[in-house]
Amino acid sequence: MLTRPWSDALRRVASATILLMALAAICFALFALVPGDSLTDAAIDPGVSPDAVAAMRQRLAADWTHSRIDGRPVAEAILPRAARTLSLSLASLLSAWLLAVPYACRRTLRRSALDTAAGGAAVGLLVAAPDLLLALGGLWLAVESEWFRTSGDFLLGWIVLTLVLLPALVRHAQSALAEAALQPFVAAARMAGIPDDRLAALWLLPASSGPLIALLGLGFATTLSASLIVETVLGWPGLGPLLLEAILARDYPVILGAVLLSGAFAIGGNLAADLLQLAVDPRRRSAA
Amino acid sequence: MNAQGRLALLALAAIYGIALLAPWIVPHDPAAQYRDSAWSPPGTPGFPLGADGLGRDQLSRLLAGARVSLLSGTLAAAVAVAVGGTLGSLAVLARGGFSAVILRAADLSMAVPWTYALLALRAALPLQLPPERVFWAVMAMLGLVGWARAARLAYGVAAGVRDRDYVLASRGFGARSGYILRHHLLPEALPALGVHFVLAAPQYVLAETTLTFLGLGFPDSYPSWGSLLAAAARLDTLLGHGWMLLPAPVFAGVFLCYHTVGVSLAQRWQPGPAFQAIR
Repeated sequence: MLTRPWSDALRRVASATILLMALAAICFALFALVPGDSLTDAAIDPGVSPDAVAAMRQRLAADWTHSRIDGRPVAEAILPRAARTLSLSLASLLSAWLLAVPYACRRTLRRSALDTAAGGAAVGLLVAAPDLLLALGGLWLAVESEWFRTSGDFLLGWIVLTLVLLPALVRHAQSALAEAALQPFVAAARMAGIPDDRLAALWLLPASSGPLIALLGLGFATTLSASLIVETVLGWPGLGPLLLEAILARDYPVILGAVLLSGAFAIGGNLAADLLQLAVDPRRRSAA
Repeated sequence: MNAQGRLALLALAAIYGIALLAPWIVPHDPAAQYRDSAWSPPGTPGFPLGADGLGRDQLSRLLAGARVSLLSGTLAAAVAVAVGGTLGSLAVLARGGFSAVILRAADLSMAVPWTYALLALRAALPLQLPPERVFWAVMAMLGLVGWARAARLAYGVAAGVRDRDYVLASRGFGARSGYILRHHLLPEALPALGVHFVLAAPQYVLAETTLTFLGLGFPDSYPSWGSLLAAAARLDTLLGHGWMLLPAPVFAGVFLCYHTVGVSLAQRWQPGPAFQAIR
């Protein structure tokens, strides 16, 4: 079958771009229309003349590229924070995948009762402890044990965010692998005496690559969501704490930038997974 | 539903019952400050879970907070699933323009990580809201962030049914859209939406808790679980009074119950390798 991989890829890039632009338009409209701004305090201050406030307001309203609090360019305020968020998120995403997939393979292929019960209980407990509670647990550990700094400790944030991501990843990877394990060729390979590790790497994982890649794509948004909470609780100076500061100061250009950037990361991650999907699975390409 | 699921459902019913009755069963007024008993550790007579720095009874705040958090979260989940499910099913029937608008809007609202989306909506509201308005504002924000997942789910299930032969046949006999919606699409979509509601409700409760924890939800005088956690998360509090975190395991228990019920419902309504593997 003849395929046109580039036109498929271009179509996906185009729709991701349109999505991002629509997002920008909606966020901009939302923040441009809201009542109240960073000058609300100045406006009720008897020492500041209403004319000065009005003039200031007019000047600020037109400017969406500088912070309304300290006048820095928005990019300068946001980019270093975004780099820290990305480093924490990507490190945690990677470690969570490296833990979850081998574990899921093992549980799919070899079901010893103890293994299943213990692993199931651990995953169940982690499911019950959502991001906010795990982050608070991490903070408590830092305070009690002195192993970690109580604010801005990368290692602690990494461990906590990995634990946050792990249970859902394990469950979804397991269901993807379980589905693939039902295929007759897996049973055939098994009967041919292929050892479990080889079977997992060469039969099971390729057969379940579709759902796994989709899971990876959806994972970026989940990771960023959880990262905001972990960053805030553990004092990691990423995009999350910046967004909170900006909200409390009604600094709309920075709020807009942070929200759009988080959307761009999530959409970009999804797009990357989509393109990977196209590269890996020819069935997804449209016929020429 | 298996035995575990039934047990968890019973526990949830009890927890919601206690939360609803909170105003009548709290040992103290959750806002009353017993300054002589400030920082009483758990187990002090009269303060079984201790008292905070202002001498407010932690147990009373936990119970009153359960009412605020569980009710606002669950109501928001119910509204979001109902609205999202309706829009998703309608999108299947309408096809064409309406359906495209709904689906693109859903894509858009799922494109931003949910904590960022929630904070963006919060940023568009005044920072200080009167407590009675906070309740509706929180519900509206959670609903706006969450409706798209339910809509996508309903659309997926209903679109799978729309083109089956029996639906075509009933259309051929002159059935109108409303009839098809009620008799063919909704009966298929409702179980899936029910499972989604059970799995999503604790996420909504968590979202409210997070918002309040960050200082952007309910005010401290109107305790939610978020205010309890925020009070415990201060470093100076944690250092000497780590027991202030005691409510956290209670929340974890509620999440565990929800998860157990959700998984056992999913197994019952959607049996298949994908769902069996979740266990």
